[in-house]
Amino acid sequence: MKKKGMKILGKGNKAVTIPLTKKPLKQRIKKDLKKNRQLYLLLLPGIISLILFKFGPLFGMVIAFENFSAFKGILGSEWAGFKWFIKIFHDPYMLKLLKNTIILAVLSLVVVFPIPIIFALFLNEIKQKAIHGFVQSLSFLPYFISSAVMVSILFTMLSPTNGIVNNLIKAMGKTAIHFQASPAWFRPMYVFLQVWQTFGYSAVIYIAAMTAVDPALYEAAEVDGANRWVKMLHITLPSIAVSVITMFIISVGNIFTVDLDRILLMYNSSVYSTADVIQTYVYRIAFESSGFPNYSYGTAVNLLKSILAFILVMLTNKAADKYAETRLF
Amino acid sequence: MKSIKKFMALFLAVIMTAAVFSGCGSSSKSGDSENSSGSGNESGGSAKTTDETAGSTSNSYTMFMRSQYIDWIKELKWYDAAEENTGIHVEYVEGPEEIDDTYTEVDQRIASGTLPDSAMVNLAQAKVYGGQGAFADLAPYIAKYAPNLQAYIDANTDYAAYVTSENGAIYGLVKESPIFADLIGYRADQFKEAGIDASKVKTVDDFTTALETLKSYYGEEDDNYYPLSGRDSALRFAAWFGAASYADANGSGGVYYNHEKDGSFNIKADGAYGWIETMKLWYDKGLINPLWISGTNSEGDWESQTLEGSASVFYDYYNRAEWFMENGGPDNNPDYDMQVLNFFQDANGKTIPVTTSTLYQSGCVTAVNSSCDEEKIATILKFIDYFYSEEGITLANWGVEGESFQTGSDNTKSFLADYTTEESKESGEKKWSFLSDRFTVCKPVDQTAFYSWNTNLISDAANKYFISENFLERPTLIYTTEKEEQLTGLVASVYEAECSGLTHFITGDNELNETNWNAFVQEMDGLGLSDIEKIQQEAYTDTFSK
Amino acid sequence: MKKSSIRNKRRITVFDSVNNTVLLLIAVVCIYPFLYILFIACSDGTFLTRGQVDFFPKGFNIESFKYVLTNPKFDIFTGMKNSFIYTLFGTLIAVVFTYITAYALSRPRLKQRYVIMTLFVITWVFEAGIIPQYIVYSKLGFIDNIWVMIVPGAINTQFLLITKAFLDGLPAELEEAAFIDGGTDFQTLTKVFLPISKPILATIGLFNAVSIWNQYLVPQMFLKSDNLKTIQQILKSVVITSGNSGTVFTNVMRNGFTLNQNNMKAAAIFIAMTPIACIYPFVQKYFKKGILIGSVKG
Repeated sequence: MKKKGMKILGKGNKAVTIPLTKKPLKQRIKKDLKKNRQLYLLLLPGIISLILFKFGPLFGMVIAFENFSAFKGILGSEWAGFKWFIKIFHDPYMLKLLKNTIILAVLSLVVVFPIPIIFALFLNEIKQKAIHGFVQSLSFLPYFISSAVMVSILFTMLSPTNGIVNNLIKAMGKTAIHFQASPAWFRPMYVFLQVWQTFGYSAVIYIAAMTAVDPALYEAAEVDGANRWVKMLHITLPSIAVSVITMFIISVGNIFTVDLDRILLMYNSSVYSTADVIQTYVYRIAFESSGFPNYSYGTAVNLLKSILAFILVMLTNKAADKYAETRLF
Repeated sequence: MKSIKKFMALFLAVIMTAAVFSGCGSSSKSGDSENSSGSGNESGGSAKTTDETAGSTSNSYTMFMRSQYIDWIKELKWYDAAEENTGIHVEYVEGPEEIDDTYTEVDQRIASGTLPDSAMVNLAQAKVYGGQGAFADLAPYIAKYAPNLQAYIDANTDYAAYVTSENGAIYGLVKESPIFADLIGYRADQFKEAGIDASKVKTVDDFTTALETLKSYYGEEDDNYYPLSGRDSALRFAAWFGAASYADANGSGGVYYNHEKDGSFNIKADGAYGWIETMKLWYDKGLINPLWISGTNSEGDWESQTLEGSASVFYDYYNRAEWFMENGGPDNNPDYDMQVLNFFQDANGKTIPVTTSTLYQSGCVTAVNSSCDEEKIATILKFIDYFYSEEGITLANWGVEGESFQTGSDNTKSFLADYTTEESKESGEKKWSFLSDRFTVCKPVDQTAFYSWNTNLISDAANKYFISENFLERPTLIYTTEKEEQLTGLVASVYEAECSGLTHFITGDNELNETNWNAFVQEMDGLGLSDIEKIQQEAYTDTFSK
Repeated sequence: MKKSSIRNKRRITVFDSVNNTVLLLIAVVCIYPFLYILFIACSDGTFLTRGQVDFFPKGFNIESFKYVLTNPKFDIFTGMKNSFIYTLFGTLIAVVFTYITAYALSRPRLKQRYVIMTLFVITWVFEAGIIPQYIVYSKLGFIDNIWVMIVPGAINTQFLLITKAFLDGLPAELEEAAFIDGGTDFQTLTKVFLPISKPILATIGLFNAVSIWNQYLVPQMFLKSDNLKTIQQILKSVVITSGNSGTVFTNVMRNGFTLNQNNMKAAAIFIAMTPIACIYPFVQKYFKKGILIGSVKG
């Protein structure tokens, strides 16, 4: 192969380069197309979807550099340069947004992440198969239920006039709390929903890793006189270490990903001070503004967020590769 | 054999992909060319009607509108008569339920090119998008096809000024609105039981005392009893404290644009601090529903509370007292008696004027898609023009002579149709109704008819209280397209921030003291409140110096 | 085998009973809210307004369900029907597209596979955001078009990666053997790969189905007509915002029971989650298996 290549190069030096080097390429493509015709056909939907639905919106981001008019469209609107980006850095609200976004993300990471691990550890100690199965099945049922239903249920239960939670609070002689409208309660409620909806689901991965542990290890430990806690901490926990690290890295990478559905369903103007995060603000500015929607500004804000998120995911992916010997992609 | 079947299935899937993609392509194309016939399923429907009427396309057009208004239109007997008389049918394209969402969807429909022949928009949208070419300039067509409307415009120069852009074009038609203010409704039976003499409740302080009495009387057995409740925003009492937003020759304060009547307040007014102090007092003592303060008390919540006795007082749309009497109040409780409270007086015994609606408003503007041909525009204008003819005005305000109204010997009209019977019909049923504050069509309003279409409870109250001394001056301001665009943007962000800041003062999330208050006012100025006031003042000068 | 059975026969300690009880309690807490909604729906409205319903229904009746289902303003049926259609077709197309794309991208013969895969990953990690998405999709004709629920999300990069990882993990000899027998790609795919890919197909099918059924933002942005709305949108407008639609929520008397908006909302919520609750016991074991297949490669 190498020699052949050399020869072509040699001939090319004698001014016949272009037709001779191109021809085999063309032929190769032809041959490849013929041989893999069906393969390319199978790939077609994927390519079309990639171009239209994944690159299309990326192209649409140019409106961040335009004075976008809904009527004139992406191609017809006039150019605005970096106007909107400059505005972002002068907009005091942006700091608040960034703060809200990060607090919510860190909070849900710190609180949500350990719960499935603890749950899985204790679930693993249940030796009665029926109870084990029953508990696990019920625990990830909420994952199936939509945010709309979950939020509806939460608000019904927390209703200050007739919800069960406030009935209990009132029974204890305290005044009812207006959870739905309280900025201070927004974050706890968001995180609570996140836990409720995902802990059973996340635990499945850990439980699976635990079942893969060789029973001989436990038996050996038992012979050495280890009790439950020792086994749990020294055999079970290390067995899921790789999964834990991987999941943690994924969670860090996704720190900018909030459950937009859930916030949009939960929030109202009285909790904006804590509930408004970058994504909801972008949504609000475009789809819920009572003035003219500023599509360009919203896109510019989102573009900056996307760049930050992109860098973060790339870094964590590297970290995963290094520390967990696994990659997200 | 099985594998061939599977292969075929797979192959079909691939074909389907192709079909889907090409389908998308063509549907977007058809969307462009068929702009005039609405979107998606509607286009199928209108195409059908076109076939049926065999070429007489000029007899119908499509219009995008808030869905609730469409539901109301479908119940109106006089509207059907209008379609019959003009021979024009309007195919309504349903928008969202909420009015703000409706305008937002207009932006979206413009962005996606799915706007029907005409649409309900706000004035700023009509002017801005009109200027860009999205809406047709109706001025030349009105002159050509709508003689009655042209006569109206000529006779009402303020109307002409209000709807005309700087380039002389008319991109949207504004409706006339009746003039009214909110009224306080109260449970007379509960007042009596709690030992309050309603006629002695004369000042805001008396009102607070009455609420306290109610709370201590009914709050014992019902944890959820809050005497004062309502829907939408609770920030509606500013006028009682002399803190309504305004624009006049001396300047402008607060957000006046779009808040001439509802949610009108001026945080820089002398009384503003006292207003919030009082509301905080109501809140702290449990006199006002806290859900309402925080903006999560829906209309349904409020109605339940008021019907079931968990709330006794409200300050809302002027005929609401009547509504509660008609919609279940007395059914649940035979003693149920909702009455209208008098207007409040200040310390000197002078009636405190309140905010009212204005004759012309920037909402509910009819704009015509620029892709319509002349014939279609003519049809649209012909239909609107009918309601500016004498016959149309009478029909829309009084209905049909002999059926819904009669003319007396002194040439005055009075309703034959009974308000209670008509308005208590099940939703969806055809009825006579003349609630002119709703958007049905652009038409001149007959104020007499508007007030008469009520039970005695409300029409008496309206006649008694709705006099000009009791109303604050609410001038109609005319903005340039550029200023109006700027203003809508500013108002959208500032007004929301104001509401949230005031709410935090009331609930105690932010302590109410002079320092915090001044910081709040300063923050709002920084956000653009002072810019808003400046634009409003300039608009006042421009409007009235001419 | 024998050894482990000895382990299982060990006597039940205090730890076991406490642990079992606590975890059972957690499981009950997980589903109690769903029962609570049912209790509210079945209670008399007067008790609800006074806040007297806690752990059991009071003034038991099922009028609220009848009312919500028969009142056309609630539109529960339309929402359920639409959501069902979108989920069914969306899942079907998503599974087919994801699978064939993953198949093509896992063939070493395809030289461009790294480029294409990288492009997929880039568009996955770098989000364009909802505004450009809205504008571009609307230009593609997706406003009020039910295909918006089915086509654009059909190839989810994450599921594509999982499927591709699964196919990469299959021995290369499988394909070689098929090709020696003179098979084409279509034949290899259907005869050789499809039969052994059932677990991964079930996984991505389930994941897709759940995500389509539960979607709120996409339909909310694109599906405007009432007759296209999903059950989630209807829940949002009926239960959470409840909007300006006073006519829907005024109190009504039915067979001597007061229905107020709280009963009606609870009934609507309960009806909306019934289908999932019904199929859940049957699919949950496949779902559990699915998560594992997906997690093999992290």
